[in-house]
Amino acid sequence: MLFVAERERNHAALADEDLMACVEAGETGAFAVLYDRHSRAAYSLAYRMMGERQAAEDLLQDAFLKIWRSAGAYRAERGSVRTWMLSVVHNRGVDQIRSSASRRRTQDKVEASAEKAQPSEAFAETWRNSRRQQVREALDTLPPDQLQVLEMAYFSGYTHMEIAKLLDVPLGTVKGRMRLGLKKVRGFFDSRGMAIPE
Amino acid sequence: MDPRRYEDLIAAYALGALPEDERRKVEEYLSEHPELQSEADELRSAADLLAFAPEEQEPPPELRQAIIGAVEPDAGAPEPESRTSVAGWGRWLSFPRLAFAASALVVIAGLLAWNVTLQGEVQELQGRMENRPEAPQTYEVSGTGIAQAASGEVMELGNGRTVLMVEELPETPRNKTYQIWRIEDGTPKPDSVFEPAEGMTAASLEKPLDGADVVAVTVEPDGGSEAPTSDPILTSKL
Repeated sequence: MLFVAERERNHAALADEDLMACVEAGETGAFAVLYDRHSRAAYSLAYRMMGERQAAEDLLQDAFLKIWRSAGAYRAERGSVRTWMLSVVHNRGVDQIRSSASRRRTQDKVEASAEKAQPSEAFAETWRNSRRQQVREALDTLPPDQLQVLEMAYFSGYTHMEIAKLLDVPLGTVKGRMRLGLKKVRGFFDSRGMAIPE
Repeated sequence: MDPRRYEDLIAAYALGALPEDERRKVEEYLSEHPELQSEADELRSAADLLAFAPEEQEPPPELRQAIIGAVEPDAGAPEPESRTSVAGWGRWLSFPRLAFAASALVVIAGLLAWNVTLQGEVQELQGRMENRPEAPQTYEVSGTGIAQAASGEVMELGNGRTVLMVEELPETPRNKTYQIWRIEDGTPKPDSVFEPAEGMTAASLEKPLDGADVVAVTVEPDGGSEAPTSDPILTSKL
């Protein structure tokens, strides 16, 4: 029992990748440490996608249970644990949005969410050089029409055809904006010699 | 699928914006053309960045209990004792780990001594301050994430000297360290790095607090960073 207690205490000292191996082995202590490290980012994404507290909480719970059961699917060579966990939240969120019977999103909602993406003066915004700020700076370099299609696809779960219909533009235009937008985000980091944040 | 069609769809694929049938076709095409995988990965990593963009939201504390509680019965199959098998601990007690642990012990001993010295210094300075008309200025420190249980204060001791005192600070993950930041006009300025001590941790700031609005602590790679790479786990508004 002493060893068990010792090991539980050691979880906090492990790197994320090692914790994933522990989670795969069924160690709830490791899972709790991963939750403490990444739940804030995961919840922020869930809230951004779902637009309200209760749905964001449901999504977070659903995603973390998926993480618990699928820890073995994580591959370190494909990226950081944090990025993988956020991709689980994103994929589950898109599934939920798309399967929702009352697909509540409208053109107004899309436009409103695009406005919400503007930087605020909240305390967290002070981290100008932090990962989030770097990403925002990269997104700020995009023309509004490119940013809009990226956000509609990523956060609201629309397919390219749905976006074309909602914006009343040709499908080819939407695909072009997606490609240019992603290339430009990538180029933002490459041109500054910065690593893509993980 | 022909190459033009693939080119047409790859960005939407990276964003997860394809319907199921088209997504499968892109994946089939990629499996037949592994030379295209790196470009697809680059677009995917650019799309993944969007996950970091939202405004920060703190999940409610009760959600943590619900989520951790939900997996505990699920973990019932392997009893805690069964996880202490010789094979399992063999992995933990392998030579590289023992070597690592031994060197870590040396480092910890050094840090402990430094921490004790620093605490002594703080006490001495506190004692000196008591004899002076002005008391040290203190600011409350609050923790979040892995440092949720931590508490403490930032103490300005005079002559530009500032010390961060924190209780219940957890160990850092392997190859990571704590780093202090002074937030000045919205910009985090790097300050000292430190390791936690058992009980009370005392860490001295390298620079005076002049012009800083907030002191924050993040977990950073060993040696510290020029700009924060993670969210703050301790903050103190000045």
